[in-house]
Amino acid sequence: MKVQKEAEKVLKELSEALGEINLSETYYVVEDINITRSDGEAKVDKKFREIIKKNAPKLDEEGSFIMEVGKWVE
Amino acid sequence: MDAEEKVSRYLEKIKKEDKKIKAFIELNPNVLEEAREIDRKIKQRKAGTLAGLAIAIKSNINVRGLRATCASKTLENYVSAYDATVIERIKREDGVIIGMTNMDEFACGSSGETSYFGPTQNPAAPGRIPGGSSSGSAAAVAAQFCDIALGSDTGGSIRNPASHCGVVGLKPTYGLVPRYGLIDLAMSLDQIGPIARDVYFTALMLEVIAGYNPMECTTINVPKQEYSKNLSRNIAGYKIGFAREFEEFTDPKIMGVIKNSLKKLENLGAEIVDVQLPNLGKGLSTYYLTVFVEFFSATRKFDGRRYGYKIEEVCGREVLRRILLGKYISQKEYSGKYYKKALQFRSLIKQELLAALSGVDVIAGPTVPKLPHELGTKIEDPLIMYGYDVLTVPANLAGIPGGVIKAGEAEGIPVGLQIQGKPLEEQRILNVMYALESNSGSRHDEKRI
Repeated sequence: MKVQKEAEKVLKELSEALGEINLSETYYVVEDINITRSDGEAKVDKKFREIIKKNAPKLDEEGSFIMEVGKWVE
Repeated sequence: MDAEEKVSRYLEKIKKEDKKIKAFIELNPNVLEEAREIDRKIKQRKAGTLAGLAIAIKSNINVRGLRATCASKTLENYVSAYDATVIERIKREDGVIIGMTNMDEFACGSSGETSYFGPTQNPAAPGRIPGGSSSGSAAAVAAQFCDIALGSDTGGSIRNPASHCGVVGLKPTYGLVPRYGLIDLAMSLDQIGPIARDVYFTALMLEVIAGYNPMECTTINVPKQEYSKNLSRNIAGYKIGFAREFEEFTDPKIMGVIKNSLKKLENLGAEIVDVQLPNLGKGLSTYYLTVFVEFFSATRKFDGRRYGYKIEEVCGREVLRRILLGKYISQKEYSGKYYKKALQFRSLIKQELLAALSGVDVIAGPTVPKLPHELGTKIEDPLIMYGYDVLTVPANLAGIPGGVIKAGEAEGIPVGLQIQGKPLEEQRILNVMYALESNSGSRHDEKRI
């Protein structure tokens, strides 16, 4: 596949351009990551159901979701 | 002029001209009604700081009831069920969302050509790319389809199109603006920021969208700043750093324009100081190796089961290439070889930039090393395309802010001056841009709708 071949070339050239280094790793530039945030306040959004239904892959005539059966149970 | 009339004029202009420019993917069908509501508030003197301003939003930021497509077939019909934090804040200040703008697919690109909805034209240089990935946002501002736009910047996606389209753009310090509601490209690098036709509007939008959000894990808790009120043209005594390494990567025609603007800054009382960035070129590999891994992780939710289509089945070539690379690098046996090495180099780039900034107020230089190519030019080697980002990615890797303002033109094409500052020193960047704008008379007030 052409994209696969291009990807391999990109990876080779990018990693060769870096060379070697021995430094600590930087994952995030911010020091205090707020991972223990408290829960937000629940709010009722009356239009939420209507909006989210627009994104459903399939709905029946009554507007109920049609769920896909997982391929592993077929 | 009231908000309704102003928005109507913008809509008319968009209707006439956007078929050619393709800045917008979708317009807000309720925009006139919303503008009327704001006019009522203005009459009652209850309106916010963005009252009646028409704001365009990049299509990877969630606006409730409008589509957040990321310019991809994957999400072509995806309707946002909630507002991103930045959108809540714009609405609270009575900005009017006029529509969702075109972009490179999933922000993977620097040209504005990889959109599923078709490439965007550069209104400031017809026939040329507008830059990317926030191509539609910069084009919408340049074409005067709106007052301000929002873009997102992972490796230059605000600054690159701002430079090519001759408008003002600002990538804030990482963590200053909440990312909640932004569909991520690479979460450790992404930042939302403003694109506007002048520095004042850029500062005004930044002060609205910046600020801590306890619901988002990487925003930083710092006091609110009034960037627009604190704008100053007085930059006498500012030390402005310039790195000779910029010249190694940049077209001499662009360097000529940049050096001219440095002279203007000197004439305004600033001192130009040499700084060293010996590893500038290594930023590109560091950036892309990091992005591939984070993008692969970010796209795992687009499996086509709950909404949209499975990404690998419908996406464009550049998105697929990045997914394949991310998948490969993420394998346990290769992570040390590529990803961890990139994270180590990230430390080096960050240290180097902060050291260079320690002796100056800001660093000024070019934004994009090349002039924008003609739309439709075939660039087969992705590494050539990635090369457009060499001067912008270091700011993302270091998490520092970077602004862009038009410095002049080369071959009739806008060239942007990039000004990078220390973390949380957006005000200094804005002040330097404000001084330059006032000096060059590049404000567009007289043309403003």
